[in-house]
Amino acid sequence: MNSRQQRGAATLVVVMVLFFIISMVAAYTSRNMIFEQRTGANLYRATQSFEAAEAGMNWAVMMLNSGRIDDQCRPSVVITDNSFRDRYLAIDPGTGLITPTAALAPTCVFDGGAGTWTCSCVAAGTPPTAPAGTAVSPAFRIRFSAPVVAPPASVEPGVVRVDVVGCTRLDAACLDVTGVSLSNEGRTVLGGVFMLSGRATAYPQAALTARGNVLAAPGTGGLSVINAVSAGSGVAVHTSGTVGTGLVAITGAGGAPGAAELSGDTGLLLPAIAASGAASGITAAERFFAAMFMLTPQRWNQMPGVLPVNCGIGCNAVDVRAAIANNPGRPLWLNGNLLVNSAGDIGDAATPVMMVVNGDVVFTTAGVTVHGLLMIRPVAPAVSWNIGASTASGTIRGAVVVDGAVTGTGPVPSLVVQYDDGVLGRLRTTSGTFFRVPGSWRDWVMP
Amino acid sequence: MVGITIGLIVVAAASLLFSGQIVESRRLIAEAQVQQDLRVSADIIARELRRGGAIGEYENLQKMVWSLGSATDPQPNFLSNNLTVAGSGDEVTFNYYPEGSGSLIAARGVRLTAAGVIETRLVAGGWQDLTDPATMEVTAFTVNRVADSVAVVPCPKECSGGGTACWPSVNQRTLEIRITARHRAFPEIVRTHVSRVRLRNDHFRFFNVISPFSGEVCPP
Repeated sequence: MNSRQQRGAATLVVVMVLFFIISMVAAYTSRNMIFEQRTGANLYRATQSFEAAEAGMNWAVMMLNSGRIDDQCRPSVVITDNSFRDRYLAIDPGTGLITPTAALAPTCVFDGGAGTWTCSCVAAGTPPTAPAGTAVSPAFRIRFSAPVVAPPASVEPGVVRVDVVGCTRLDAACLDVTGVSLSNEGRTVLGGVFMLSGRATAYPQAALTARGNVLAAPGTGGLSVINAVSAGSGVAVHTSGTVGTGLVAITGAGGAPGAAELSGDTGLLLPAIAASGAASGITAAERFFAAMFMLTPQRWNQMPGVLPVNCGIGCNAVDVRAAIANNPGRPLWLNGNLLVNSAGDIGDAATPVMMVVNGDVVFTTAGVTVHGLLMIRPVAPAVSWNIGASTASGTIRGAVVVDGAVTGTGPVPSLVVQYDDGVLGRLRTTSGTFFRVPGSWRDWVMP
Repeated sequence: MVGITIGLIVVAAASLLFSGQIVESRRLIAEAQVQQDLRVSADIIARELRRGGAIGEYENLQKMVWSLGSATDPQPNFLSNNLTVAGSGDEVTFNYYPEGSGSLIAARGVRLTAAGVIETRLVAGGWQDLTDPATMEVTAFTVNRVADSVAVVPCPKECSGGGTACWPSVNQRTLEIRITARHRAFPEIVRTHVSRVRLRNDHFRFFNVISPFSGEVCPP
């Protein structure tokens, strides 16, 4: 090897050393990139677990306000299935106190590959299996419990505590409220208090309450109104107008006919208020509705617990019975007349129904009893509940509120409206919408 | 001779590349710093704001709901109304109550200082830096309260002068937070982070806003 070749070798060595240094610098730079990527991944997981927990919280509200479900939390019409509310909570109809019951907690897991959620609503049994693919699969689990209050305070009726855990993996330890997060997995615990409300806030004290005259024309009839509850107000008919002589019977608490009417009560006639400036107006009909439900009808019927039943001209009794059976505890909003046109009661003493009927209530099949609270809102141009449309006898146990007058000549034997405080009491404690109490949302764990 | 020349050219090119790499790498780190600091700050601010109005005590929470048969008047959420965007929108104060912290009346907040640092009051007491003053300068921090979504609760009676303006309402509050920051050493690195936060605890406004504890939900 001669000297010229040796000088070339030195250059090579220098170049090699320089390239080595440059590659080191490049590696150092990419180390920063890896750090960035890790931070990004952590943030991504944290966000995913948070969003999963948030989804769980809102899902729980919706499920508590929905009807019958199967073990995969999907809507069901199978008679042996019950609702989410009945699966996880026991509501005492007497006191309204809520006791969480189930051993297992509802759980959902997201399949990133298929892009769908899979849920499990079995009260006892096996939880859902994690998706088999490699895609990220966030999950959430919901735990209901009684709020922890220090004596002398006690838990109020209609209140239940909710804790939701979101985790980026379906893992029992991670999804347990008192559990721990796993390495490289995101975990979020959210909590809140749900309350069953959104039902009527002021219950009628009379069997029949009307914003208008009740059977004004002399000689009409076919309607018996009874308030035989001894501890109650004893008022059978409560009206802003007059009570006609045509009622077959008005029976008060003492059983005395004709002594139980409260007529000419202008307190039922709240005038419309016009809009002024930024404040919106409200109609007289809306105020009448709000006096009982503390919400305008257009807001009330948008509550998740309220089930709208769209049935064109009239809702057949069979459809209403199916709606009640598939949606226990949910108030109904009927867009149309209630046609009692087939045999069998609507609701029963143990499971009465709160119904807002936007139309008329017409009995055409004899011997049917409706258990519940009926709000009858005549649709323009009608201004009254026309009992004359009924051709068969029937009974309403609970109470009836009419946003208008009561007119017509009823069937013989007559329609009976009987005040039932047992029915109203059950509606008070078991019917309505669950919602999250404002102020209760938190993202830290409480004892 | 030829070898040396080529060698020198290679060395020159390599050192140019080397120094370029160093500068780029520093810039990259600087960008990451600004981004990271912005992201974390925005995340902490969003987390804190989201909690606004939360009450971590079931005894008090229960009093705010009213059920049939309750002997007492409903109480207002005494914290959810404490949401104020002050100054030119560069300071927001709010409140929440985590159980047992003893911070019931301590106001919380986020603000921008004249020195270009975002400060928070995370716990009872004074303000502390949220962003790193050595790394970046926050040139703009604005909190914009998006118009509330309001649901009015109809009352039996009109307001004293007529109308419905005094009726109670449930207000959903949303804030838009915009942070713009510049790196101290590389002033050309400017980043902006925008996030929208809906406060999870809605505010129920009573008729009697002056002394809501009187239980006057509706006009008497």
